[in-house]
Order: sequence, then C-alpha cells, then structure tokens
Amino acid sequence: MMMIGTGKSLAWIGIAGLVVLLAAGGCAKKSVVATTSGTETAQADTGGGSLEGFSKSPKDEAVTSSSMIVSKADQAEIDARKAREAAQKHLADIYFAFDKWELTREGKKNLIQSAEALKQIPHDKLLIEGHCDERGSREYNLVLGEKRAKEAERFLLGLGIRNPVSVISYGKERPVCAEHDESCYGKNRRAHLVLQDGQ
Amino acid sequence: MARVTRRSARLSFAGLGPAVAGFVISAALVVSSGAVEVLIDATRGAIQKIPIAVFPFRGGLSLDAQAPLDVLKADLRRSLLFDVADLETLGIKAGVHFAPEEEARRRAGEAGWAVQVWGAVLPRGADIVMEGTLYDYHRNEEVGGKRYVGSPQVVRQMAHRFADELVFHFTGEQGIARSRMAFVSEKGGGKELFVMDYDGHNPRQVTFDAFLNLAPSWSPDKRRLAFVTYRAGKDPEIHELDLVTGRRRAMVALPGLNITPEWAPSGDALAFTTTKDGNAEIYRVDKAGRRFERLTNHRASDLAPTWSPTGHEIAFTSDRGGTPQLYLMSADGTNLRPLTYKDRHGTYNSAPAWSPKGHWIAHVCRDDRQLLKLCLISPDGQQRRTLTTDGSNDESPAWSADGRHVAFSSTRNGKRDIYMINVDGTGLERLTANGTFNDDPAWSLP
Repeated sequence: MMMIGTGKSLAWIGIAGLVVLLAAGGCAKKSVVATTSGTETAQADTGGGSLEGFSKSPKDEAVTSSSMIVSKADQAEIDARKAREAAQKHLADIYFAFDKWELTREGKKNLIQSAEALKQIPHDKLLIEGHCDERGSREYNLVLGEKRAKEAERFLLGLGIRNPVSVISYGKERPVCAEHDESCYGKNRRAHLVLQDGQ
Repeated sequence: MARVTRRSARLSFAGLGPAVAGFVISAALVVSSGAVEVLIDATRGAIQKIPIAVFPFRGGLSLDAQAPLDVLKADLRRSLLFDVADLETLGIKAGVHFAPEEEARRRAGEAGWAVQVWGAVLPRGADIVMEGTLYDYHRNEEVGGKRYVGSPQVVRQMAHRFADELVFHFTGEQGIARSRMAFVSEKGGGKELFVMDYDGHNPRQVTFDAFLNLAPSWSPDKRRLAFVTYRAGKDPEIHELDLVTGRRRAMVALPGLNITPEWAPSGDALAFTTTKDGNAEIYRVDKAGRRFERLTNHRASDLAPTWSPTGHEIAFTSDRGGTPQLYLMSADGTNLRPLTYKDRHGTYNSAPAWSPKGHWIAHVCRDDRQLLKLCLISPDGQQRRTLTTDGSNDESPAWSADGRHVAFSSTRNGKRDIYMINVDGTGLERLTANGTFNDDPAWSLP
C-alpha cells in the first residue's frame, strides 16, 4: 500500500485506516467515542473480553479478576486409594536397559521366580507398573513404560500364571530416586509388580 | 503447485519523526501447497521496535503506583515490539502532576522517545481506578486514554490490559499480557494442575486429587482444560475441567493409556493418544466427546499430536522408523509423511508443538549428552534451529499466541521449573520458583 498524498495529516489517516484494516483480522472492536460522561461502564473480563481501544474521552472499563471455581478434594477417594496402596504387596522389580523394553536375562530369571510365587496365590490380582528414567520426554516415556509392563505381562502369562493381570504405565512420573546419575536412572527403568488381594 | 497470496502493508510513521522512520509490518504470508497449509510470519527480521517512554504513574493516597508501572513496562518489553526507555538513566523526571511536565516530555522526545505514556492509580471508594494516556510527541497530541475500574486485587490485570491495548493500537495484533499459563506442580506427593498469569504471578491450584494430573491443554475459549488423570486408580483418562463452573467430566476413558490431549484451534475437536488398540495410536474426538475418529494405523507408537494453526494438519511423534521422530499428516489422517530423519536430525525427536503463527514446530530433541533440549523445525523441514543448549533437561514446549515465545520446563536451576524464552533464543525468564517440580506448561490465548 503506498502512502499517497502529502502532509502529515494524510499520512496519519492512512496509518489509522491501516490499523483498522488489520483490526479486521483481529477480534477487538474499537469503542465509539462517548459523549456522555461517567456512570456507564463497559464490561471487560480480564481473561477474555475484547480490547476496547483508546478514546479521547475514555469511559470506565470494569476489570474483574479471572475468578476460577475449583472443585474440592474428594478426601474419601484419596484415603481409599492410599489404603489400597498401603495394603499392596510387591514382588521383585525387574529392570530394563536405556530406551529398551525387551526383558534382560536377569529380568526373565526374576519373573520365573515371581511366577512360581504367583501360582500359589492364583486369585490375587497382579498389577504390573511400567516406569522409566528421566532421560526421555514425558509422553514418550508413558508409552515406553507401558511397553515394559506389557513385556513382563506377556512373559508371565507365557509361564502359565492364572492371576488376573492388568498393566499401567507411570512413565517417569513416579521415580524411586531423583539423582541425575546412572545408578538412579537404572533403578527407575523398571517394571514394578504389585499384588492386590483377590476377593 | 504453490499458490501464494500476499497481503502486505508498509507503514511509515512519518508523523512520529526520524526515530521511528521505518516501522514495517507485513501481514501474514499464506502459502497453500498441496495438502500443506502454513502461515509464515514474513516479518521475522523486519520489525523495528517502537521507541516508547513510560513515565512513572501517579499514585493516589497510599496506592502503590510502582507495581503497575513495572508490570506495564515488563509487558511491553516482553512483547518484543517496543523499545522501552529507561527514563532514570536519562535523568528525566516527570514531576508531580498527572501529566509529565512539558520539559520532561520534550527531553524524552528529543532523545528519540516519540511515543509517550503516563498514568495514575487512584482510589474510588473501595475500588481503584487506573488511568492511562497515550501521547504522540511529534504531533504534540494526546492520542487517547483508558480508564480501568476494579478492586485493588486486579491492578496487575489492569496494567496487562493496558499493555495489550498499546500492542493492538500499534500493530493490530492481540498482545499476550492477558494470557495465562496452566501447568503441573508436585504437591503433597502427587501432581496437580495450577493456573498462573503468563508472567508467573498469582498461581492457583485447580485440582485436588493428591495423585497424578498431567498434560493440561487449554480450550480456545480459555474456559476449560483437558488433561490426563490417574484419579480413577487405573488406566489414565482424559478429563475436562471447566474453570468457570468447576465442573469436571471424563472425555476419553478407553482401555489402556489415554494421554496427550490437544484441543484443535477451532475448539471443535480434541486430538489425543490411546493404546486401546494394543499400541499407541492417535485419535480425534468431537467436543461433545462422542464421535471418535482414528487417525493413525501402524503397529509402532504414534503419539503426541499438535495442530497446525489452520487446523488442517497435525504433527506428531512416531517410532515407526525405529526411534521417535516427528511426522506430519492431514487432520483426517491422510498424507502422512516424515518431518525429521534420524541421520539428519538426531535419534530422538518428540513432543512437537506447532506455533500459532505456523512458522515453526518446537519440539524436544535429545542431544549426544542424552540431554533433552528444545529445537525448532520449519513445517517444510528446511530450517532447523536449536533453541536451548545448556546442561539441563528441557521439555514440554508451549507457544504464546503471538508466536514469539516458547514456555517450557527445565531442570537448569535444581528441581524443575517453568521458563519462557524468545523464539530467537534470547530473553530467558524463569516463571516458577516454589522449590518443587513444575512441568507441562500450556499457554492460553489472551
């Protein structure tokens, strides 16, 4: 767009016109200059109301806090979950190599032993949790954790356990340690076997 | 075949004097090429900052006028559109009246600050009033003013609003000072959702499950957060929390993992990942949560969808090539093709986030120290940049609505905090410092 015309006033009108043109792409409306004074206020929600623009005789623009209603804690639910977790028994964790979900020889040995124990208590529910170390991105680690848990599940089922089994992944969200060293990383790359009493 | 539509405009602020001689705006360059539609912000290198002097606000009675002044100046600096004068260094004082003395305005104007702003914070009953004036030095004209009324608790919001009005006045763009950030913070052994102002102030907890709530995603109307919850005690589900009513509903509860929710820019659909088919696949569901549509179909893991600003394309992570890489597809799952390649872009690329301006996809790239860093790649795959390089784990990139800032989480200062950085790698700013683990930022529209 060329600035045709002379003089600062024409240039200024051109600019104002252009700003309005650009505004058409945005979603704010310019307020009409009001001639009445004072008591009327334009509603403006801080979180989302349209911008009103500058005015030579500005009207009051009400600003409210972006209030949020928050749902309270369900304490009964929280307590029940904590009680369940406290009552859980665990079998040996099995560990994985970095970025991998294949079972190691050590892991298979542990699972064979766990399968023997599980066959004694075939009605107890088994939950296999998959976990990761911190060196992968959050969401990919959720998927990797599930792959680890499913590998363990597949192997145990192949050994003939009859317990009801479910898997879950916590990715890197529930680490057992937080140091940034290989020793801690190794501890976190695990499938964690949890027993819940069958009833 | 590419069809190019160009709307561009040249603005010459002749009325504002030689200091602002060449302020150039080019409007969005829209390129339509086959199935790919991207909005390329053609102005990346061309914007000269508008010189602006913000005089100290007058405060009435015991009202603190310094705080809103600081908020306003910080907002204007963060917008990257303004060069904000440091009047103290220039030795320019405003005087005692509402408007700065003519002498102060002249000295500032002659030093190159042709756009001048002043204001006041005054009591009105139990409320406060913030007045602001925009002045053009070279035309010796008050362009216009604002007058905000509200409780003293919203003085920061008034300043944010005023900053966005200035941004809009000069560029026609929606400023981000009114935007909010949702994020995850470790609390009481669990992870809960919080919402804070975009500058890190006023964080408020919005879930109280004492377990794991992750990965919030804002609806475009800024009312609702979709997020991942382990609350049910079994497979993670995607819930939606309405921040205005406090109501919560389950949106996706398929067997297996239900993760990575992302609202489409139109608000009509939610893309997400589920492992109900035995492996991770990407689906979309309508906003009522009823009609599901499968988008990927491959035995490898496909996850973490992010929408293009037009809503016609989706970028995502897949390990179908052996390692996690970024891929693109149309929003109906067709035309699926790779964006990053192992030999060119490294063996681990994930967590894509498509800029609202369309010009970059920010993502996690793992370097040869096995550290998670942030990278940028253009949607045509031609340009690649590293955004962070230091010795920390950085992840979960989230864009501001103006496409000039990326929020992310980082371990660079101990545990994990939310930061923001400009897209050119400058302006790193820490937003949380509460001594715990903070993650998964999501940036609302303003």
